[in-house]
Amino acid sequence: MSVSEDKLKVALERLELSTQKIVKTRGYTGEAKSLKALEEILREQLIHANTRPSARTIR
Amino acid sequence: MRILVLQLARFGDIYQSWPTLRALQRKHPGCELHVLVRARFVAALTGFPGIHVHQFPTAEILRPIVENDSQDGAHQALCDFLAPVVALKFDLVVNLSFSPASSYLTDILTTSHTQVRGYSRTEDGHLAIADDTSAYFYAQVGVGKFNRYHVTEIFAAVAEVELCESDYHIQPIVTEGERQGVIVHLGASTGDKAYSPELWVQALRELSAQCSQPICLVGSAGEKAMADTVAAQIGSANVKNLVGVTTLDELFKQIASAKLLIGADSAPMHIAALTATPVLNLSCARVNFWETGPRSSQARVLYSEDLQNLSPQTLTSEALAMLNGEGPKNPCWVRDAKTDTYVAHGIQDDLFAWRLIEALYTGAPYPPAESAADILAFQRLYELTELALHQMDRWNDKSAQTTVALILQQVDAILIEIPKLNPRVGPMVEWFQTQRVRIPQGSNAETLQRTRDTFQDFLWVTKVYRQFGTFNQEIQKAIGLCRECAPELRECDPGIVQSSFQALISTLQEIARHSTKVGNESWSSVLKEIGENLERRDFIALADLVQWKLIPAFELQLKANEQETLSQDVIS
Repeated sequence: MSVSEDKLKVALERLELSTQKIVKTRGYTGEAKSLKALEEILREQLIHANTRPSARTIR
Repeated sequence: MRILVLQLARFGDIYQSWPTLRALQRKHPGCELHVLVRARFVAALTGFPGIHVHQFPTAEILRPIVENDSQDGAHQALCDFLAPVVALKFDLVVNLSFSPASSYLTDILTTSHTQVRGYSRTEDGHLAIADDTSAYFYAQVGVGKFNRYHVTEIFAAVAEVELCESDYHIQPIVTEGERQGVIVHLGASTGDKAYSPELWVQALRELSAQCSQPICLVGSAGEKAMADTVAAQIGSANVKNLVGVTTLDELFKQIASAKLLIGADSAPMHIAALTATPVLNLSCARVNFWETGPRSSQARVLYSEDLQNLSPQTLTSEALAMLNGEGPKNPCWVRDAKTDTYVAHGIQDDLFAWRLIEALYTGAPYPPAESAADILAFQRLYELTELALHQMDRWNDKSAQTTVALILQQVDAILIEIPKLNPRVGPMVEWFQTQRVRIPQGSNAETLQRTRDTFQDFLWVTKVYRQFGTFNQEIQKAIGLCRECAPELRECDPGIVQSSFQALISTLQEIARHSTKVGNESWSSVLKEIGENLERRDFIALADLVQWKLIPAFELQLKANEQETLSQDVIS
């Protein structure tokens, strides 16, 4: 794994935690929406996703 | 009207979205059409008229994380990009990306008055699949599945537009007489979809020797080193290597005036659909040509599970046949007109799973189950569904809820295993699972009722394949299967009787659902005995049980049933 990939992986884990916290305490707010979007953008980079098949892991 | 289309996939998908974008402009004259694509693939919109392009800056958004470990910086960059787009307050947002990220972006980019098509998010953040086409996509589209609708058509259906011939052709089509040359795309978006350089050398050496048309190699800068080697090894003046030196716009023009394009499932092939250029496509199991294959009016698909098993001679002879206006020379899939589907030439086409999809989604008749394995799989689905429904009926009994929840969990776990054993029933399970994903938010009682309704629908469709004749017919069938299995079990070779033994077990289970005893024993004890013998691999004991216990018991049961029928006849 490259340095950037490593950083993205750590960032993804951190992001998942903070999004979960926000959803749990404040609900699915505007901030939670954009953090979830960022989380998925990060995840696409890590799995080098062709976005179509990755749709199956939704929900 | 202000419309936003999200297409966050790669070059090929962007080109396959062109007809839909065109049809949206036609359907909503004077509309303001915005398209959001990833910055890296924006070149695929070059030449498309009358649109506002927004480039999604993935690299810039992620830069604060990569350079400064700043998650907040990345979040801010995303919000900064989205804010002016949100401010446009779109009337219609069409998400053609089908990815988790795009579903969140769609949710962010919509306001309360926006109409949404494609994946989005519900108020609690769950996936929202509002339209049936997107639900179809979620369930049936993807490699290893059985979908036969092309994504170009699916994109159009998501956007609720009807495509016409002119939607494909933004620029005037070059007539056949004016076309010249063969374009060859050596690479593919991923290496596992591409033909090997050694095989290309053999095929193109032969093609250049036998064909008077100039051959031009095209591809991206990343494919240049491989193309240079291939071109050098072919060593023909008839072969021109333009890999890595053409822009997408130039490539568009080259393909538009070519007599034939040869290549794997990639952007040049999707460009060919927009320029009506004939295509010879090399396809393999890593893609599904039905959904992303060539859409040109003259196209042929040479398919091999592993592309490296496709001989260069096959490629050359088929390419020459197309250039000479001749019919197919090899087993292949042929598409003759844009509205037509692929037709098998010299290939055995297994249609069962596709017919099943058509039955589920279009109301077409259900295809007959062709094998015992198919019938067995449907039978199991039916039984699981029946079990789930029974459990849901017990849900209001508080003391039973823990057990019910555990059983329902098990049902869910087994349901997804059945298509792994028999992929041909996969479309039905995928359809059902997607219907469950689409259950909207609601109270516990509403969710239970909706889940129950979905299982009930599933029960109806699995029931189509449930084979249960009269009770006597089933007993006769069981006697026949017992007689078939017993001698083979005695030979201790379960492999030989696997299929008939499975059918016997299935029949016994079905009879057990309609009676309490076999002979003097309860069904549960007989089935338990079978299970124990199987576990011990004691096939002699199994053969004894089948031959000396089941057959006599069934024969007695038959006789009793016949006498009962006779007495009823006498009475009447």
